Amino acid sequence: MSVAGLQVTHLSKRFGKKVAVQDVSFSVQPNEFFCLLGPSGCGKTTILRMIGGLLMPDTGRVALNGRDITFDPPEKRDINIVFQNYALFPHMTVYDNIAFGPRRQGWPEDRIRREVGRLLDIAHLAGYERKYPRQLSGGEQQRVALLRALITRPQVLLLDEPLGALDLKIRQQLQLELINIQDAFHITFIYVTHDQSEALAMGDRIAVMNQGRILQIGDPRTIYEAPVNRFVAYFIGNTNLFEGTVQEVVGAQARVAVPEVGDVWGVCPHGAQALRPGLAVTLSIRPEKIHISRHEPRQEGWNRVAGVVQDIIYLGVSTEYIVRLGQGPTVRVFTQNLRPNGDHAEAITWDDPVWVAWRPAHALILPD
Amino acid sequence: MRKGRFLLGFYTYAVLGLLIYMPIVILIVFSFNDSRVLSLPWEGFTLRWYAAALARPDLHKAIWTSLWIAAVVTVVSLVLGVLAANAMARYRYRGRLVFTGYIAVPFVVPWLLLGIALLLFFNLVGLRLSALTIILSHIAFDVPLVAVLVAARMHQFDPWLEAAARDLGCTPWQAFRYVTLPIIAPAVIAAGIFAFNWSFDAFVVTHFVSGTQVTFPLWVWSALRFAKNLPIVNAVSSVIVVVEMGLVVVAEMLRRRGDAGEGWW
Repeated sequence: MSVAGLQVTHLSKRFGKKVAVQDVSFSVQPNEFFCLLGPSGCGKTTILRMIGGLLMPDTGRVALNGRDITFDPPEKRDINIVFQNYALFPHMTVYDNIAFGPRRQGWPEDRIRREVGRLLDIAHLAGYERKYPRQLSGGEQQRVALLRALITRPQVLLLDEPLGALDLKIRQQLQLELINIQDAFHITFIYVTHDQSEALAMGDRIAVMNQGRILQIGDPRTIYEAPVNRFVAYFIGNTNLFEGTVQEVVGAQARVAVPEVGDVWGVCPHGAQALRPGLAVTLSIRPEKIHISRHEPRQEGWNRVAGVVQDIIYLGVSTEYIVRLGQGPTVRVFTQNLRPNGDHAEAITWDDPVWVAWRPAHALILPD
Repeated sequence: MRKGRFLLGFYTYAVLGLLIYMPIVILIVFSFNDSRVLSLPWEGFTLRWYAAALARPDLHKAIWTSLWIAAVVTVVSLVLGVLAANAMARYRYRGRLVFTGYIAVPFVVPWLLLGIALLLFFNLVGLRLSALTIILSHIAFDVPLVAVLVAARMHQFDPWLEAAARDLGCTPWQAFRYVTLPIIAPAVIAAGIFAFNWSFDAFVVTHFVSGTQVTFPLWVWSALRFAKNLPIVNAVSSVIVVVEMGLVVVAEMLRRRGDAGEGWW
C-alpha cells in the first residue's frame, strides 16, 4: 500500500557517545507546512539532514509516498534543502545559481530562462540575474536560495532556520511570502526553527523537540493550549509555572496544593485519569488568561489569590504586571491596552494590593 | 613608538634589499658587463653573453629537459595534490597522521637526505636512473607543496556548498567539477606555478637521481667548473630569474584573489 507524503519512523542518530536523535517518528501530509521546533542542539537539524540524505541514520526509515528512501543519495531524492547559511554558489550569478538544479535535470535553456525570469518576478528580484551572491542583502540571498531549491518543484522542501540571520521586520515579511509561496507551489514544507512565534505563525502542525526526542506533535492551538508536559508549556509562549501536589480529583478537575499560594483548581489537558492524590505536578497558567483587579473577584468557581504589584511593564499592545503572591512566588499577568491612553481601567500602580484570578480550565496540570 | 616602527621597517627593507634583491640585481647588471670577470670596473654594455648562451646546444637541451620534466611533474602533482588537499580538508580517517607526516616532508627533511633516500629506493626496486626517476622524485616533493597550498583554500571553503550541489542533483564528481573546482581554481593555478618552479629549480634531489640526464640546474653546476662559462651562466640565469619572479607574482595574485573569496571572476 502506498502512503502519500513523508514518513519518518523510529529514526535515531548518535555522534560518538552523544545521542542526537532518539527514536523519532512522524508523518507529514502532502502540501503540509510542518515545523520542527526546539532549542538549539535538540536534534532538529540532524533530522532534516537525514531526510535530505546528507546524513545516514543509525536506525529507522525515511519514506516518501510509500517508497523507502532512507539510504538514497541526496541527488536521487525529490527533496530539496534551503540551508541555514543559504549556501549560494559564490562563483555563480543569481541566474546560474537558480538554473543549477534544472541544468542537472537537463531542462532546455529557453525553458530555464522563462522559469527563472518568472520566479524572480514573483520574488521581487527582477533584474537581479547577473548579480553575484556577495552583492545581495541577507534577505535577497535568502530568496535566491529559496528559488534555487523550488524551481524544480521537489515534492518536499526542507528549510533549516531559513530566516534565522535576518532582522525582525524582514523576517516577518518573508514569513508571509513563504506561506504564500508554499500555497502557490503545493509543496510540502518541513521547517526547522528554534523560534516558537515563527512556528506558531507558520506551521500547520508543529513537532516540539527536546534532547533528541519529539515531545508533542499538534496544530499550533493544541500545542499552546494543551501542552503535554512542563517543557512544552514553558518553551511555547510565556507561562507561569508552579509546582504542587494533587489533593483530590473531582471529575475532570483536580485540586492542587501549591506552597505559599494555596489550593488551586486546575484541569489536566490530556485527561484526569493519570491524576491521583499525592502526585507531584506542575501547574501552567498563561499570563493572558489571568485577570487582575483591585477588588476581590466574584466569579463563581475561579481561583483567586491576593498579591502585591511588584512591577509594571508597558509593552504597547499590552501591559505586563508582575504580582507577588503573599511571601511566595511571583506571577506574570498580561492585560490588553484597550483604552485610548493605554491605562488599565482601575489604574493599578506599584505596590497596590490586588487580586489575581483565573478559571480552573486555564490552570493546566502537567505531570513532571 | 613611531620611531620604533620606522626603524623596524627600515631594518626589514634593508635585510630584504641587501640579502635577497641586491644579489639578483648585481647578477642582472653584470650580465650586461663586457668582461669575463664578475666585478667592477664596468667595462661597457654588451649583449654578447646572451648571444653566446643562445649559441650553446647543450644549454638548449638542458633547458628543454627541465621544461618538459617540470610540465609533466606539474600536471601529475596537481591532480594528486588536489586530491590530497581534499582528503586533508574534508575527512577524518585512519592513518591521517602518517599522511600529514608525508605532507610535511619537503618542508622539514633536508633535501640532501631526500635525494639520497630516493636514490637508495630506486636502487632497491631496480629502477634505472633516467628522466623517469627525476620525474618521480620531483612528484614526491611537489605533491605536498600543491596539497598545502590548495588545502589552505579548502579550509575556508563552505562545506555546505558541496552538500547543496548534491541536493540539487549532482553526483559527488559533478559537485566537485561544478562547485569545488571553480572556487579553488585560483589556488590550484597558483600551486601549479609554484610546483613548476620547484621542479625546474630542483638541484640537490635531481643531482642524485638524474643518471645521464642533464637538467638546467645540473648544467649550471657543471658549467661553473670552467671560469669562461661564468658570464654565460650569468646571462641565462638573469633571464630565468626574471621569468620565475614574474610567474610567482602572478601566482601570488591569484592566491590572494582566491582567498578573498572572489573565486575566478
